[in-house]
Amino acid sequence: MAVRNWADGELLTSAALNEITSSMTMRFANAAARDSMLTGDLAPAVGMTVHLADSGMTFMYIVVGGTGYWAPLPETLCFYGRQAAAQALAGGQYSVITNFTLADHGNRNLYGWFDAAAGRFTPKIPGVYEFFGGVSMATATAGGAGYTNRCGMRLNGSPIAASENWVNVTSGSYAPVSFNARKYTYIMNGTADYMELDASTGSATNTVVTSGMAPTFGAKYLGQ
Amino acid sequence: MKRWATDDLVYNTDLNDMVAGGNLVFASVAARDAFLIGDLAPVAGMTVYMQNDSITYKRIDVGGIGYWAPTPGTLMACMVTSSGSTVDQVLSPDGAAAVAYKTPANYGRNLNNCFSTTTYRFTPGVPGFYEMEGLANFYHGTVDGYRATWLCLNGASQAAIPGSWNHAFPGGSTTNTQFGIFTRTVCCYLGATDYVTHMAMHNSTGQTYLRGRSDTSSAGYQYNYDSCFTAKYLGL
Repeated sequence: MAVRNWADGELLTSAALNEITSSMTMRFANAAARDSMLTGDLAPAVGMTVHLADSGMTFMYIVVGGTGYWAPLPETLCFYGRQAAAQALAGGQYSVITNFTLADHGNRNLYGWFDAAAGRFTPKIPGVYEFFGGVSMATATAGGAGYTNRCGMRLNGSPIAASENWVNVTSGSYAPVSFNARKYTYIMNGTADYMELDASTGSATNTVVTSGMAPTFGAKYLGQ
Repeated sequence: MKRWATDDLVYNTDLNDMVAGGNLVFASVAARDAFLIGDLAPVAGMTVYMQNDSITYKRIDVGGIGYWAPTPGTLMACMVTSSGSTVDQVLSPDGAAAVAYKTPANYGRNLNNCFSTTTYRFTPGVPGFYEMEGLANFYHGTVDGYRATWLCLNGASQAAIPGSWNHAFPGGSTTNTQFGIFTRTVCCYLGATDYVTHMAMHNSTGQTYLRGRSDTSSAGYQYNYDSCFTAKYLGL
């Protein structure tokens, strides 16, 4: 085993050199080159780190529940999208915010886990993710008992109360109004778990996508 | 870097390749640049730990140009209105935008001077995604209308970075009321020369201010009304 204190006169075997190699940050042009080389003595092992030139990103090999994954570094942005066109929001109900398809200032969709049209993020690496997002509404009007203007996260189809942010309009109306959901951290199972952004409004209105107000939705991978 | 077999010879180039794959520790940028030449010239994926700022950097290549990028999650800037300042910043009325605060001070991080305290611009100089948000603290007196804050890309007169705009309606009041508005958290790809400015405005005809001071209440509590801007590097 190469991870040890070496003494004078010891022989350096090929196995030891391969173990030293596997503990370095190994550099590959792309995932195909990585997978081609990392076999046998160099088969992926927990803690192994690679840098891929095509993406400019570094990945670490982790094993969760017996399954191995090349995970990005913590705080890596997994996806970020901006709504491309105004969406009608019916009054008095939750609406999933969709159509985060506008490419602007660098949209991100690592591994293609984000269905931008549907507004649904389904990561395939289990771990901790931090979610953030917000909306702008053309008008925020009092009314719609139980559904004052709010924005929040939605896990597997159900709103998460701890992620909600509210703009309570008790009288009259404001036009427009912008606000974030609360940032939310959650351990996703890496198989079927998915997250969406939703909003509700007292009376029917539309989202606003002009200028800096566009609804946005994103998440970062925070590790295990 | 290769798969080793029995009887392979280890050359100095192999050893240098192994060195290049390790986590190299340097006391300063000058020491790093003096050492990483020849066989050890910087290559994408190389990792260095800099003792001068206790940050790990990874060599990245964007468009054929190399950069030393901090690891994802590194806080690049945390700037607040100068502590102890007693000068509030007057915001022009009628919707005129203004840089969110003057006399910014480093409140814990201004990595490689990426935030200019004279131009009020955040210019990180390393391509990649950045997570940013700002807080503007308004002091509005009796003025009605809405207050807004946002982030601009490459010019204070440019449109807001999409998704960064946030505003609130304090309502008219006969009391001097102050409140803060955060921009929405925005993730934006910045190129090597892109810069971001934190802006604020109000849309009424009366005058309002961005707070630039801290006060102590009669009960002895310290209130800090500083506006602030933070930016974090998220990598490529």
